[in-house]
Amino acid sequence: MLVLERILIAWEPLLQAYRKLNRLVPLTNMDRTLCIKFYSMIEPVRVVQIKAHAMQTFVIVDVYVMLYSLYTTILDVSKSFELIIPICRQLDFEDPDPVLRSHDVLQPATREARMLLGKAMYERYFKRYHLILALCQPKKIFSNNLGRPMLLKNVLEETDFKFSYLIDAQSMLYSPMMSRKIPAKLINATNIDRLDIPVGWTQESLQKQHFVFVNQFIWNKIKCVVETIAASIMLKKQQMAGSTLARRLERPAKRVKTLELLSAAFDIVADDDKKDVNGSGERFKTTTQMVNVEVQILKGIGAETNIELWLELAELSKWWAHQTSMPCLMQATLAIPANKPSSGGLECDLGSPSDVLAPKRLSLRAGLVEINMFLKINKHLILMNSAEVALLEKKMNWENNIPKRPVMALYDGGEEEEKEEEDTDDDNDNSPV
Amino acid sequence: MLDVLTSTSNSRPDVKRTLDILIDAWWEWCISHLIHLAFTEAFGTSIDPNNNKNVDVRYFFQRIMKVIEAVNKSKYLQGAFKETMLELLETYLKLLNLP
Repeated sequence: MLVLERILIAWEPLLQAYRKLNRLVPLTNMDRTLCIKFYSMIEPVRVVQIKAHAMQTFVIVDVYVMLYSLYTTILDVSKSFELIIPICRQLDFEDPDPVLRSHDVLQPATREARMLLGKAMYERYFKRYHLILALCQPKKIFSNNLGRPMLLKNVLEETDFKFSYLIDAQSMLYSPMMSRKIPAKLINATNIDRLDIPVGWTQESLQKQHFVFVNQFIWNKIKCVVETIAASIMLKKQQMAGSTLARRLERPAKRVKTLELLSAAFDIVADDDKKDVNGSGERFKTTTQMVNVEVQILKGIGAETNIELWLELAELSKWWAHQTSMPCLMQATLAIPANKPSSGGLECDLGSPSDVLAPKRLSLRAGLVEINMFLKINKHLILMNSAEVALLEKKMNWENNIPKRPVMALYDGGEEEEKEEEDTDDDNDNSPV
Repeated sequence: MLDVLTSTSNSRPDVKRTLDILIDAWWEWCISHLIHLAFTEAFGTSIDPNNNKNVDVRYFFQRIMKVIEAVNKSKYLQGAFKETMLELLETYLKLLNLP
């Protein structure tokens, strides 16, 4: 990208430099045109890539919307694309009116590149909105009954889809109104081969059904996460109730068994539920109930509010306000969108130890690990005040009483030098610490 | 592994399997990896020439890279280029051979 940007900025000086030295100019005007077209294709996609790299800020929704806008502009070969000339930006000249180029008038190489770019992005990302190709086994889902459309499965599971729809779920939790529109538009925009349409179905009916399937799948997955959180909240309550009961029982002589505590806790929770109203006056006996109520509240908010308001107010911090009405969903909302659109940060985290630790330190020897563990476990025995340390007399020959650590044959089987090193290390290991 | 901050990765089977099956997370394409691979496919810039899907563009980029290399390696060319650049644009930007 930078290669193209720099060469386009310096195009004229580069040609003049060749002419100055009376050398044959290796570049033509056609090359410049090609460079500009490639740059114009790469630049908008590259902006998304740079955006996705951000690790400190919340960018998932921006990336989601930008990918959608890519799909409708540069990746759509039926539409013209804007030519971008980097010299205008770099030197703060006034941007001229955008020059648009239709796909049909492009050179074959540029046309091919644009088609391949669209195809590559489609295969990896936009295929999830395809009515048939997004599914693993569409024949086991779509069928017909005397020419009428019939579903063999009403709810699709994870194994039925080729994609996880994480990014859709993230934006759905962020702003349900907005995220409902984008998948719907993308699903409606996908072209399907007539031969791929199952008998009895039409493209429109498939589009509607696919939208329902995707929405259902995302919500079911969100519900699963929320249910796990609800279970942990309930368990916490039970444990808290158990600890209060333990205090009430006042049996310091005997330890109250965990099972007894838990069984008692169940009774207390049941009693507390009658009084406790979870902030909104509702009782939840099971986690599923809890989850369903919270999802309904969220859907209600999404339906009532208009999209502009959502876009303005849709910030993750907003969820803290719903801490009492939707405690589980709030936690899920903070956790699911926390997945970054890029794995760059994580890869840096995993790769950074090699910057800090030297290779020798990375390969810790068994003896060193043993010593470290011994010291850590017996930390409480080590006296911090040197005056309190009782010194052993030399006459006692205490050094001879230290048991020798068995030498591991596996580590001594290497080269002689290593052997020697290990031996010396072992000797050191056995010396008093 | 509960402290993993992302479930996005490249599509290498080992990483994908770890996230998808072993941790039971929602595996999703890392957008950076995805776009990088899309560019490689579209512009034929894969390391292995046999995996090249766009021969014409690959040769075009190779030609451009050769020109840049020639300018950066030659003392005279670079000097003349720097001079003309300062003359015309009042700034000097070195040509880059790598992104």
